[in-house]
Amino acid sequence: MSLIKLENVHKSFGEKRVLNGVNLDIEKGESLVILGGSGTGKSVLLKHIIGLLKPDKGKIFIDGNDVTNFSKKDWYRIRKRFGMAFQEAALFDFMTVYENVAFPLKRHTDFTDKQIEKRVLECLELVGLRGNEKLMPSELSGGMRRRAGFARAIALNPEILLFDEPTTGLDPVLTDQIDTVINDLRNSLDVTCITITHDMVSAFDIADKIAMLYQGEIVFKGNPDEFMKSDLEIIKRYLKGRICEENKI
Amino acid sequence: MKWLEKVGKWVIDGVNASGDYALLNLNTFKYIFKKPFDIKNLFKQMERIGVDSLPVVLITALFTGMVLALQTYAGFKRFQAESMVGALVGIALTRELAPVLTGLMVAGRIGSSIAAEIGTMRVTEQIDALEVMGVDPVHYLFVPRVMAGTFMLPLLVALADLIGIYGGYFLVVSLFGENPYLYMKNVYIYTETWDVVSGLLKSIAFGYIIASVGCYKGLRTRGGAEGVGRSTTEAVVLASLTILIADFFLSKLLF
Repeated sequence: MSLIKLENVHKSFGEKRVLNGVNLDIEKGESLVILGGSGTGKSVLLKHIIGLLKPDKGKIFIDGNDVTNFSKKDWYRIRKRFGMAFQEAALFDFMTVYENVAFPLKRHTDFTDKQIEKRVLECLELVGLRGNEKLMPSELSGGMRRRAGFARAIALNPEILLFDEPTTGLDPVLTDQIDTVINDLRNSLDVTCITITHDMVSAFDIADKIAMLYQGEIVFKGNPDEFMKSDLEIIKRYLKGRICEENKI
Repeated sequence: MKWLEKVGKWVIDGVNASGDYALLNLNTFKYIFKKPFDIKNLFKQMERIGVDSLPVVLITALFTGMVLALQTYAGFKRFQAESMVGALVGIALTRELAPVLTGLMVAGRIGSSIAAEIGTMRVTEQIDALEVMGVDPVHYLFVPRVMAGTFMLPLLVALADLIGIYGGYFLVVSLFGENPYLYMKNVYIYTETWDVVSGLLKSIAFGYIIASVGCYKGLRTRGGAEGVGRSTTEAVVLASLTILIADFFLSKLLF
């Protein structure tokens, strides 16, 4: 049984159809990268997986349970299994790095201050940010902000990690650093990773499986080698960097 | 028929927004009694809404008291009733001017800042981050702000009452050389406890309106920086109008 399963998921915003019958199975322990050009609905897809958006049609299953019509309360319960790193990190700008990482621990655990400190420092160590606890998010560079976001996402020991465009807007050196951090996290935490990106280099660095979203549908899912050898015209064009423009459904 | 469609859309949008605002308020009430109680955040908001607004509110009250005394003194002098200025200043300030003007000043200062703060959190995905971490933004953001607004506005108004009355006193006594004893005596004789209490009761409602409208407009922000700007303006305009409308109905109800 798949850990997460999307069945014929449709979503429109007004006249604009974004998801047009997405079918996707995500297995436990895999690192799936969802590729697609800008504006193809990758973030929308990710938000469906974590319940921030509800599909207009179709179903979403987590561990075989239909979560499509879960109430807000049910989602709050189930979301403790997830950790999500946002595109621009979405750190709380009125808190220090330490307070940001400590936040989910304070809200959801009975940890003492000492235990929280231990866990926060552990998480910061994992993403290579030890020693920066007292800085405010505005004092961090783009790469550091994202790593702080990762630290916050893993604080509660989630089973599933979601990364929303983790390397967009970073230079190649920082991109490589972020990819390394993602791989390290995966190796040390034994989690299922779902990453959305349009960065091919990054995708090949971190993926066991690649899925391609095009015109609101998953047109391919397979391992990186299969992706490279695929005969699909869309993938060939993507590999040559020809489809980055907004899709027009 | 285009205009009819427009009117229909306007009505539907209005009803939708009212329902949305009402539901958010209901949720805020529910969360007030739910753990975890974020006392630290509550005190932070009380400081921001109450203590930090003191200079603005007190200057407003001082000059309102003074101008009220100045104008009524000129009028009352025409029929030798100068000593009654204290009575009028006391009643007008406590019943009406202090609560409404404090409400409007705080709406401008705090309603806008709450809407901008939460709106920025919305457009930078910080609200989504809260949701993903299993924390309802209504619980974490609305509850402390709405409670702080509701607690602090009556305290600000009580101080505004006092400062306004002494503003009038200063003007009448120092500038016009009137009898200080008579001014204060008339304030005490003619201003009843209910005048002060009703003003404070109204300010509780105003404090609630300012904070809840600011939170609501912030949470429903769409778009980037432009959206935040729009929400901020809308929060001030909506809170100010609601205060003025609520003031009429509350006054009708209380007196």
